[in-house]
Amino acid sequence: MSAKIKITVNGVMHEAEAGRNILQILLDLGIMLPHFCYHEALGAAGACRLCAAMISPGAGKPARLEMACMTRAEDGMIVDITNPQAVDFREKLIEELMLNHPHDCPVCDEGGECMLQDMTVLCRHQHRRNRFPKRTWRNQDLGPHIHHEMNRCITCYRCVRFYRDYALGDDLGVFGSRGRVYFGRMRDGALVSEFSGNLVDVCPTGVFTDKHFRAVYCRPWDLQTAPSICPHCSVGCNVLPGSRHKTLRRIKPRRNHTVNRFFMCDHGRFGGGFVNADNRLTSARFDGAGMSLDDAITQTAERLKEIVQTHGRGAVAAIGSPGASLEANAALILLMKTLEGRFAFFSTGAERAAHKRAAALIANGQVDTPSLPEVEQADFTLIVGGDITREAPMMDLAVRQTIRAGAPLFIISPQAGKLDAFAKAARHAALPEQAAIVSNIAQALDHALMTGQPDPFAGAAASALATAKRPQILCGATGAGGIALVDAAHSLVAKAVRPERPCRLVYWFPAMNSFGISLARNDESPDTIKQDVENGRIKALTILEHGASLDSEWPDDSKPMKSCFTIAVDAIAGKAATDADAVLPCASHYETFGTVMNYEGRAQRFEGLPLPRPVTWSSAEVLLKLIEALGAGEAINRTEYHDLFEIPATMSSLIGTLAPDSEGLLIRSTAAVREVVG
Amino acid sequence: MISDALKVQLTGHCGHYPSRRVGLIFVMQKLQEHYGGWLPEEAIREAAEISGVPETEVEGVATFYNWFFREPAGRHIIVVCDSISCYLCGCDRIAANLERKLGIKLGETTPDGMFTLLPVVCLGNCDKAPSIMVDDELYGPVTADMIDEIIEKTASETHGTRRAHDERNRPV
Repeated sequence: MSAKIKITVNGVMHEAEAGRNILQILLDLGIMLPHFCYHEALGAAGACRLCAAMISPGAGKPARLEMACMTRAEDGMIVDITNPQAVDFREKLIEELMLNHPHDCPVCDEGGECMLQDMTVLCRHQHRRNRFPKRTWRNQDLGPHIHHEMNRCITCYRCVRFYRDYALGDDLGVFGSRGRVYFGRMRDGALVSEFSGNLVDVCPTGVFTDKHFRAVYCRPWDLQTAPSICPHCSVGCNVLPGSRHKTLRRIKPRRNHTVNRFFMCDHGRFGGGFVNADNRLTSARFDGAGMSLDDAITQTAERLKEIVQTHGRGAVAAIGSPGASLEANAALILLMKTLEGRFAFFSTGAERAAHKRAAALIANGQVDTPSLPEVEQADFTLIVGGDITREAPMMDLAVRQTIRAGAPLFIISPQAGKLDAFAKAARHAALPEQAAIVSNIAQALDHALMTGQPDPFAGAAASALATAKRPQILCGATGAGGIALVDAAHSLVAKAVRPERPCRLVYWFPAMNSFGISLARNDESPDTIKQDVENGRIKALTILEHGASLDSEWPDDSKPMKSCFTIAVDAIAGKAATDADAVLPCASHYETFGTVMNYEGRAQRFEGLPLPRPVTWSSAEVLLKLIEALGAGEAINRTEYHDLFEIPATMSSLIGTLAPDSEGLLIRSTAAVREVVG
Repeated sequence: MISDALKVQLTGHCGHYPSRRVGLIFVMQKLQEHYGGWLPEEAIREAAEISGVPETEVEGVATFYNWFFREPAGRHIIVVCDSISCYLCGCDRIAANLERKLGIKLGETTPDGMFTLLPVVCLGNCDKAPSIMVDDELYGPVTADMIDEIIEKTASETHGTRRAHDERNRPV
């Protein structure tokens, strides 16, 4: 913890953290000093001059008008934001900022959540004195996601500071000078950054707005929102989807200072289309006949009982989903326990082994897994096992912060990626070969003093790793790299760790809840389940949220399921649901509540949007109804999470109490609690 | 297209700095000379390639400074200061006189390609307001009757101080 200082604001003494700027301290105290260009993640630029306040270095010393964002707080400082000179300065400044700003608030997308609108009102600027014409611009086509409206610009530079300085993009720039400053691309065209959507949030007014939201626009105050978690990768960014009139309208990042902080990637932001998709399942079906969900559940339960009676144990099986919540997968496992059935999760046998090994290492606290803000702090990064830019985009953004700080980056990836341009060295090799390269680095680390390494890449990486103070290795536990790569990364870290210097290790996973399902007890390899379905040994198969699973290739047409009764619990009419004998529709991710575990083993709670659809039950609820229909309802109350998953009992009991706006629950810290408790 | 020799020279120049991007302005000046007084899109691409600065940023630099031109400019550049001192001392009149004399508006080039007339914010010549600059030469305080003389003097020169406009310096 950094030292505390005392600072007087508007005559009241406050305690604050030393070394921060005055504006940030005021904002943290909940005191709204008007500002524009300052952004907590992007830092102070001193471009807008709006956060002026009378600041004195101490009692009895003269106060001067200073920019709060550019002034470091010192002990004993006296800040007065209500001083008439400061108030007058800010009002004049807003008047200048508004010189060229169109008065189009009634038709502007930003209206209602516009910082310029708020600040203008806050500074009490009401009357326009300028009689000259406003300067106007030609707008650019910035591609499918972002709408450009340059006339509204007040030149705060937040957009380029995010896009270019923070996210290291090079296709958005600032042109001209003085009164003719223009923010845009060199020529019309789609923005190429994976993080372009954040322009919508960082722009304090309506220059950059969300094109998708524009198409189905409503005023932001009319949106119904629910704190949710992005379903697209294992980072688990906190998001705030907004809906109106039965449709999802937009997704925004939700601040969480231990996960994604302020931002999110475009994939997550613009990837909510599945909620409004035409192929949503809206009605239940059994043996080709449409019926109510209750009836379909009753009939499915009867059929399952028959199958178990006829064919005995092991005749029924289930496939769970890494794209579904812990609750849904738990309900599926419980269903199989009730029926003495078998279960697996969508993936392959090799992937399952890799995921289980990685998840166990994290859960047992054998590796030190950093949160995203901690990833940003590293001074050495080795990325191995996949394209992080596509598979965990926000982790790519965190790595970009280490690059800004001058930290070396080494990449071993299957093919060229976007981060290669910033790497000290990048090596492209097929996934199975990557474990060998990682082992080479570990070997080179042993002989750091020896010259003439046989593998120059490994030698360079090892010597940079040896001298780093806060090194980290990011390893993709996603695909064909398999368990060998997971182990290789772990042994490299084990070798690099010294008592005075930790070496952190991230395993990132292919899907939102891959971590959670990897902790399941008694699951089988998906390969054996597939085999037994195809050779007819399994007579009934329950498929959970196939539409949300990555492995969409199975079930497919090539190997028909011999005499297998299939039950699809799904929100989307994909392949599984189309061919299923029983279709039990459920609500989609953004419409339900649940818990998921991200790459760190952080359990996070999400809530659902209240979209009034024919189907409102989550997949977990549908499965629990099915268990009740089988007459095993009392098992639900008797079962705890740690009966089904390899998680500490303390965590099991805490999951139910998680709040969506909390930091979540780290499995490795609950493991520590377990040790203390006994 | 620039010659290989020029490319080698400019690439070498950037190598003199700890960071290649420091050499950007010099590279752009040389390219503007090479392309006859302005920077076509090709020149932006070349400057980006030579200095290692992204194209977008090179364009940002080119549009930031008054003396980089992104479209063909006249042989002589006349800038009229319209900042505070010159404004108080009647720069509007001077600009209007120049416009009448040359038959063009501020921001335009005469049809014969001889003069480009531009406004500028402060020439640092406030004590001699109103002030104008023709090529590299400062004039001030300027009166309405001086305009004819300045224009004729400049036009009579075979070439301006911006020598790059001479045919002999044009790229082959």
